[in-house]
Amino acid sequence: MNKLPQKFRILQLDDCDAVTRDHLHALGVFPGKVIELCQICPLGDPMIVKVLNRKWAMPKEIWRHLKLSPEEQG
Amino acid sequence: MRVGLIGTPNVGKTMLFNRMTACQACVGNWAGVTSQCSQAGLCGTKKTIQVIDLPGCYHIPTSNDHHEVESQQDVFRLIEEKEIDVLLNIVDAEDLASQLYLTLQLIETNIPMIMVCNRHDLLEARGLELDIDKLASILCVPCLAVSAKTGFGVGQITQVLEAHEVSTKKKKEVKPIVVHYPAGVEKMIQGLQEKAGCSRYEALKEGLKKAQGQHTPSFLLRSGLKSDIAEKNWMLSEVITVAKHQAIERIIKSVYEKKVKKEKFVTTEMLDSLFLHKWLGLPIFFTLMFVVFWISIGFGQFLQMLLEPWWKMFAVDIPAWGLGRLGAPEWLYILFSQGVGVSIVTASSFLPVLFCMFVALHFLEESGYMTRAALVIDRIMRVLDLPGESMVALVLGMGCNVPGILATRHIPKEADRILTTMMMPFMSCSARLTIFAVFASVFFPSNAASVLCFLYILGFAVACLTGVMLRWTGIIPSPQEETFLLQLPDYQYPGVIRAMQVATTRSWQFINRALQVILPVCIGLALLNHISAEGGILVNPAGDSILASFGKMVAWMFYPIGLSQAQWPLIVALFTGLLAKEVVITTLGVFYAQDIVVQPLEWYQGQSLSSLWGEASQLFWESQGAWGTSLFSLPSTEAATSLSPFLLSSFPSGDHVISYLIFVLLYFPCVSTLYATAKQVGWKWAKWSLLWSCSIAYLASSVYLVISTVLPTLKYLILLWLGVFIVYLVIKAVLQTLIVYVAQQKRQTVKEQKA
Repeated sequence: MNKLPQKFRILQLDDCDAVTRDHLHALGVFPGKVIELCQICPLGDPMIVKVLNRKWAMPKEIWRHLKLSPEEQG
Repeated sequence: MRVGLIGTPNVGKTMLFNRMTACQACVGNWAGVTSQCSQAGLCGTKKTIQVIDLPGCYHIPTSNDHHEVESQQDVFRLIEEKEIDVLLNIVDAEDLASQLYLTLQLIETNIPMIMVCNRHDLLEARGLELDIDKLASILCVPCLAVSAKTGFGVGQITQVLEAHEVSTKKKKEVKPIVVHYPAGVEKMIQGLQEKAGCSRYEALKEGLKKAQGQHTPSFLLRSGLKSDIAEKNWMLSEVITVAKHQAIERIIKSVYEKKVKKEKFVTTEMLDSLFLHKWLGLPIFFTLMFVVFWISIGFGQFLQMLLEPWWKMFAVDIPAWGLGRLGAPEWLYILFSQGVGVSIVTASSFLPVLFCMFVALHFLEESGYMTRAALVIDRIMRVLDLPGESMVALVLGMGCNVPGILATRHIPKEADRILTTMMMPFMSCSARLTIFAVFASVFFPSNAASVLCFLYILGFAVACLTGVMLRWTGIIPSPQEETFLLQLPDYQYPGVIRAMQVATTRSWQFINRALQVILPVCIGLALLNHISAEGGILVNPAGDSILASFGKMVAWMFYPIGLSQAQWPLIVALFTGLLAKEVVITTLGVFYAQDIVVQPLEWYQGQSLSSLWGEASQLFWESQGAWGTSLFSLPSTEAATSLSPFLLSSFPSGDHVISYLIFVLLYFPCVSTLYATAKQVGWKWAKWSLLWSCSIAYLASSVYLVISTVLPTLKYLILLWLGVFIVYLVIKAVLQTLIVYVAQQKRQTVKEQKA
């Protein structure tokens, strides 16, 4: 996570409750989808991610639920 | 017919609602402006069509546990109970990809729907072309291109709705299938639909309920519908989501055409890299907050100083002059000029400050920075269990509590909004600074700055203490861990004319309603101040007025804070200070220095209109010299010179002065603040705030006096208090971090064990 922005592929949503899972699915955060981590706000929380060409502030607590694999740049 | 405007947040639903119904509901460039449903009749339809503006939502939940989303409860209820005849799905034409998920869900509910592609006018600037007809044919719903901002296509919506009203009376349409799920899921939906005769959405919901979040649900395996679900070991909800997003991708590919390749979001990316920067984010936030503070308070108060002579002339002097000419009785003069006139001047004095604050906030909102500001400061404010938006309001509250309270409307959760409003009266405003400056220059001329600094810090500490206490006692429950993503709006140029319009409307609305509270209070105080205990009219308020008698009567209550019956003007000043804190000094001037601010009736009888005009003009020109000095310099302490001998003889020691100033700092600011609190969070909390602030003021100043007389090393005690408070905050922050860390470690261990 050194160089930002960086793209990640979502492998799994771990230990998410149904409400959060529903919410994430609706926004386009689901297994197999590539998301982009654009920035990290001051003091490390929240993370600014780009999903479906839209920017979102994702609390670190939710970011931890995502099992990710880094995507090759370019 | 009931028409519901539904769509994801910040797509322009409320702006379109305003266009369709000629209402003036609040709009803004951030997600969550509309937190409650509003209903109004559609223009030009004899109100047969009722339009409901629904709060934005990203999806309709398929699980039953959606209690956390406060503002969206009504939306889901209206849809589930089918209380809406037609859904008007508003989408942002520039960015369909992130909004079609909701659209597809709405189609599955079988409620008649019309799709409205808003911001159609901006497509060209982005180098995009949207094939509306193709979109309509794929989704099998009528699609319209509109621009709520310019009004383009809004008339078309009315025509389509009217046509729909006629057609729905004749027949009920059945929606074709847009999203095809994997065979297994389709079979499950069909089975459930046949069994219960429900819509696809309800069948999916039922299926998901049965699956209960299992990977490869057993009931599907038993039915032999396992293939596509078992293959990747996904949950049923994930299979449904992927199918929907695949359908969305196909739709996007076929309806959009890129005309010219234009770089999108270049400005947004560039500005975000600056405003949300790891190191620069916070300094930029505080600089911008200072600018907003300066515009609202510094410039606003300068305007206020310029306008006040004219308001006084029109609301107090001219009516008094007219009454003098007509030979009106003294009581009528007191009622009109000192009651009605003073209340108008008091309410109007907020107008420039409010106007400037609303303009500044509109710029922050419309530009898209407000959401970022909340994110930047969020982590710090979480120590106090408050969201980032609270900081903006608290900063404004340091200038004047009224705009500070009104700025809490940006705070999304009601509990956080109430908490910030409850903290606000303790933020030392500029009106209190006037009192502190006069007292400090009289009693502590060499340490005036230290005294002011101490009072500011004390005010902030008590505000934090109030917040912590309300959370700890559970009166205002702590928020749950944030589990939702916050959408960052694109940056845009805020319009100056629109900013002026919004600021004028909002400030005028506030002043109009605030007068309903200020007027009776001002009239009551004016009468009490000019009627003697025997019932006679007093030209100049003196020791035998009802108010003065009342001050002497209740003096025993103020013994603990060091005030006795001999100091009744100081007690009366505390009561009149409820009008506005500056009035404390004015009242002391009236009683101690016989400095009559509002002239007696005889004085007006000898005046002409031109002399009143001349006096107002003179004050106006004198006020211009205050430009640039109103924010940074201490208020003029001219009053201190005339009050000095009386004040010095009134207080036995410096500790008594500090005790009085602590009371002034902490007791409820003014009636305008009371009204603003009631408007923002309701009268129940306004009354609570009044009671709490007065109690804490009484307690703090009396405790201070007791301790200061017992302990000569008082300053060390104050430092100790502050130290304890800071240590508490640090320990809380460390513990919170530790708890999160331990929980994280535990989760990781469990995961490893599972693996």
